[in-house]
Amino acid sequence: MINLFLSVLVGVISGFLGSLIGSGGGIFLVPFLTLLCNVPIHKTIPASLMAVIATSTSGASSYIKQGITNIKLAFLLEVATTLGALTGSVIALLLSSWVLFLVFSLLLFYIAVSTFRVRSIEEKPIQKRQNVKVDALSRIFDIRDWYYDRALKRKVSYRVSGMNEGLALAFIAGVGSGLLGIGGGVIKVGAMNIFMNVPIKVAVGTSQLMLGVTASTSALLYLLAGLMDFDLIASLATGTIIGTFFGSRVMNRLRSRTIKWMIALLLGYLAYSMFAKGLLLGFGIEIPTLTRR
Amino acid sequence: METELDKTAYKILTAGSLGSIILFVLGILFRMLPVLNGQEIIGYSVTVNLGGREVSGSSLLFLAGSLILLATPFTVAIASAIIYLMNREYKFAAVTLLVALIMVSSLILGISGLLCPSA
Repeated sequence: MINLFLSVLVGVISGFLGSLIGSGGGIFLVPFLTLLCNVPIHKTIPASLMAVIATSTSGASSYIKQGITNIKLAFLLEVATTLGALTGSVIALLLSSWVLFLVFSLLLFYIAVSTFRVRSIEEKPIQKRQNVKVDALSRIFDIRDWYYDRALKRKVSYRVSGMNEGLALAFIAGVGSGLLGIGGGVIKVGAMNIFMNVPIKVAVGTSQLMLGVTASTSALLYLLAGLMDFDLIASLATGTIIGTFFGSRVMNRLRSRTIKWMIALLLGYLAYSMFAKGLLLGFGIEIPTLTRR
Repeated sequence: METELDKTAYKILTAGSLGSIILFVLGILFRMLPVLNGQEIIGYSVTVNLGGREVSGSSLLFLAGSLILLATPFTVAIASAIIYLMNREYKFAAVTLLVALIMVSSLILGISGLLCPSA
């Protein structure tokens, strides 16, 4: 068991860094705990999932209060996401630690490169209700809604389409969440905005609600597999919420280019270290890293 | 907030997040008591008698906070399904109940003990 105060600190740092790049902090929590604190990866994943639930529940309530969460859409996509989460967590429980380290390192490499390359999050403009091409599934559920955009100072109406693509990507996000203990919000927000004609603000609010539902599906399985360390969960969840709170307030004051460079480098190094640990555990091959084994 | 569903989901999420965080922070403070008293950090100084067994007070608070956190999304799903049923929006009631069912199946799969973590 790691020191309670150290895990609060890990939570604060992960939440802070995560909020700078718009994630829940899970992509930092798992490497920090496994590499720096030597917590087994099968115990780190459920702790990270619980931190995701904590940040999601507090964030989602704020978005619902602002009237930008589409609860109908959230639960519709959750059918695919919870199935994905269940699949991902079953796979994670069956896989050896070294495989999880290698898979996680691939994800970190991908996010590091994406953070470095993407200049800014560009919102895809939504189509007016009458111009939307609606597929069969979207027609059956026929989700139409609006929200008041404070920046634009007007009501924004939208009609949800592209349900097939949305459900497929939601399933992939769920698998990622259950397998690696991350939120998968980036995939969900992208899917809703790019394929489903959902305004980006609604996509972010809806994704926040979904994160908690997805993570709790996987977390239940880990709980009953006896992999939950409640001391670790409590300290990480508290730390992550504090870190996210400060990170979201600091983000607008920092130069985005500098942040992206620093975080991309950190993610790249964490990816390399996770890869190194996977190689060591799986094949006994040792490559140099700064972290202790 | 426009609808009854929004209001209910907001109340459940706020209660869940606040409740769990309060319990977590209290648990951490319980752990800090020996440090604040200038004693050696032993971690489990405040204990509770639970069925004849001494259990750390902070561990109980952490457990309770974690269970509240886990139950919050499930409660939102069930409450949404009930509101959809009351509003006669049967398609969305069915979808939300299906999500709740998948969550319960995770519980059943876990209880069955079929899955054990690999090394």
